[in-house]
Amino acid sequence: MGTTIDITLTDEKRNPEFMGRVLEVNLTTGEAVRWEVGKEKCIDYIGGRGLGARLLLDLLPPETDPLSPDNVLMFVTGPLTGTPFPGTGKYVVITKSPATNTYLDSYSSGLLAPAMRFAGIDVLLIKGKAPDPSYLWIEDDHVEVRPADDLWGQDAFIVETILRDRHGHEDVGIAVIGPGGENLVKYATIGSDYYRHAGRGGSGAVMGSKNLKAIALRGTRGLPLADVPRVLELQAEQIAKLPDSAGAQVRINYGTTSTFPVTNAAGMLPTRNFQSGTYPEAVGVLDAEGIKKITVGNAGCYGCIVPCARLVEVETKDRKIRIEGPEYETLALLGSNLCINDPAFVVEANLLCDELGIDTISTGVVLGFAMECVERGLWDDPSVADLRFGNAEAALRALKDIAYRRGAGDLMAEGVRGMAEEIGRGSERFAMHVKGLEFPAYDPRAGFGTGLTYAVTPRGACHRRAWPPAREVLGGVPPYTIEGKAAMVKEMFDERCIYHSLLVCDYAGSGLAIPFREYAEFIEATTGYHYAEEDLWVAADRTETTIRLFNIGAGLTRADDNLPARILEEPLPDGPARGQLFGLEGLETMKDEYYALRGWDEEGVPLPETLERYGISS
Amino acid sequence: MSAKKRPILRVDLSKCTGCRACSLACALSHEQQIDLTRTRIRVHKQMPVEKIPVFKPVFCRMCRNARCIAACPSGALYEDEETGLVILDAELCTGCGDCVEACPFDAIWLDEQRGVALKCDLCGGDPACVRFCAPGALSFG
Repeated sequence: MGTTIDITLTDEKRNPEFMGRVLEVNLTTGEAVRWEVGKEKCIDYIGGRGLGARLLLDLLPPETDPLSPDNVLMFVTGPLTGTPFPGTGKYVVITKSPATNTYLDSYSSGLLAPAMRFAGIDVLLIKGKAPDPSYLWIEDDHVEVRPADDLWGQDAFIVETILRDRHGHEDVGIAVIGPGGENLVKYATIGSDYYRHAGRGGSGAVMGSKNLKAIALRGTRGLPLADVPRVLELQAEQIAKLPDSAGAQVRINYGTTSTFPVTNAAGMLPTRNFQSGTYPEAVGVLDAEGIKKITVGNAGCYGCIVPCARLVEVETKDRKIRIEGPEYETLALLGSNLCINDPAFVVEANLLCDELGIDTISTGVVLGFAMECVERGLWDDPSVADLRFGNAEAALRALKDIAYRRGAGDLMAEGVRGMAEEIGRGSERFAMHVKGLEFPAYDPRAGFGTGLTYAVTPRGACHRRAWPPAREVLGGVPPYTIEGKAAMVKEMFDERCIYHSLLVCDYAGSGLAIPFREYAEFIEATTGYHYAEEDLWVAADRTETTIRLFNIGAGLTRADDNLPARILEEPLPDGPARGQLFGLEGLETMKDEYYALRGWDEEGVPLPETLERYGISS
Repeated sequence: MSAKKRPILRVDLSKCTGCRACSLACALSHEQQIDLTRTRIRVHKQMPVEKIPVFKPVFCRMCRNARCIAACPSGALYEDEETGLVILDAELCTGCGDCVEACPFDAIWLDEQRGVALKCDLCGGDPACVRFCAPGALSFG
């Protein structure tokens, strides 16, 4: 049975300057409390990634088992969340990852983020483990742990629809896990608004380990703003920029599919489990023009004037499918990476991943790894004998088996690191992961900055920490050299860290080329607090060091900032990057430089003076 | 029933992206804060995506033969003689909800906290939602 807790804020903080109102729910005891993070800490860390990282360091012993009740699961917003500015409908999930055993941040969109702010919640912090399958219903100060017997076992779409019918369609935020999260798949997602997922690092498994099927949340207090006329004025300026903003127009017309022809031409498109960097067959099929042919509309996240999501329609042999998606990463990793040159397959696989609550990126890499193992005769499980490059049917079957951990799916649910440990026979050479997180869709051999990015990103191989192709492919920076890459990557990391702490979508922000000076104006109009641009950059560096400190505590060493042998030792056989390698020596040099720029020692441990500068104690 | 020619708020559903910027602008201009429970324009979403179009902004159509007016027992809803627009006088509204039941377009609803009906008033002739609809799905005139 559910427990109802009615709590009342004693000192209701309506001051819009305030960030850091925490609602903490303990699922073991069924208790909920509100508390506040000190204002100075909020300012130092901005919100979003920064604030969440600091809270994780403060609250969670870093050696905690990610799937134990002791792990904390945080949904964090930022000072701009819920405002009308571009790309502000986002939340970040911060927890310890079961895929990597490190710090994890994973981003998503949907109504949950603004709804939290309307309920006066900047951070939703979940601890413990419910005795039985449950879901959380939160409406302002009313917090209720409800039974989820009717929801457990159902896919994420069915559950979201049930909860919307029960609690409201217009203004209720939802976060939900599918069977993937229930079955503790290492790359299970948390879904919102059906198609938006905190995809990377297995936050859905953390939620599943807590017996928490879903969160439904509604706020009725609204979000007060420090200066309403100024907010409207600033937003009108952004709208006025739209027609002449080439970046925004590309995003509106093609979304992330516009990346496909770029990486394919640059030879960095994952193909056949990163055995090749180009997939010529995909031209006009899986790329931007190919997806344009199946696009029937655009969709925008909350309040966003750069609606980059597409609504697409395909026909498979037995049904017509419409979804919001697929994004570039999905097209590459479930398309070219599996040598399945068929948008209908990618769209169907995308839909299944969303319903089952598993990450399209990791799933694509897992299937590619499985296919290579099978084709090389390294994995002789007869149940996956037909799991070979190009076999769409076998891929769809495997994908479902993963979410339910059926048969061979049980091993695949562990991700490529776990699979390589089990399969052995040298397969770890081409298990495409860093720290247990599967590669996104950029081959580092075709742009060396991506290699450093993957190696040193705290959550493992990641395209969200920095996006070096912007400079190495589109920006004129030479791609096949390690020179200057540590400084480039650090700057790009910090830039993203600012976006993700504000918390705004970098895709909308970079599309409209909104300078941080303008974001500082957005914050001031929203909260009344003025950030100098320099303070934002300092907060980003402080945040990355805070995260590093947590990871060091979790047992991470320099050796974990590594890349698979395929990237370090096997040159690409074709495309413009043919024959290019930075190798182990190149990687180690870039790491040395990167650590030094951060104020970390040669083992990657933050130096005492760095911690002192940022007021962090370990 | 009025025969007067009135300016109308229109939507081109093929351009709507479901972003709700209209709802935010509406709440900001009427309530001076962002508040999805007190907006006068809502966006219905047909999700998961089954039919196209998926998104549909919902707002008062200013019907010429308005059922909400007929249903209103307190005289809070009436047709303005000069403009022919459907006017809501919140001072007279009792929050009984009869108009909500009567509206065939689900375009009028209750403000839970104040206990009165909420509906589009066209911002007195310069609707904020239109100005902040970046894709240009909403128009007025």
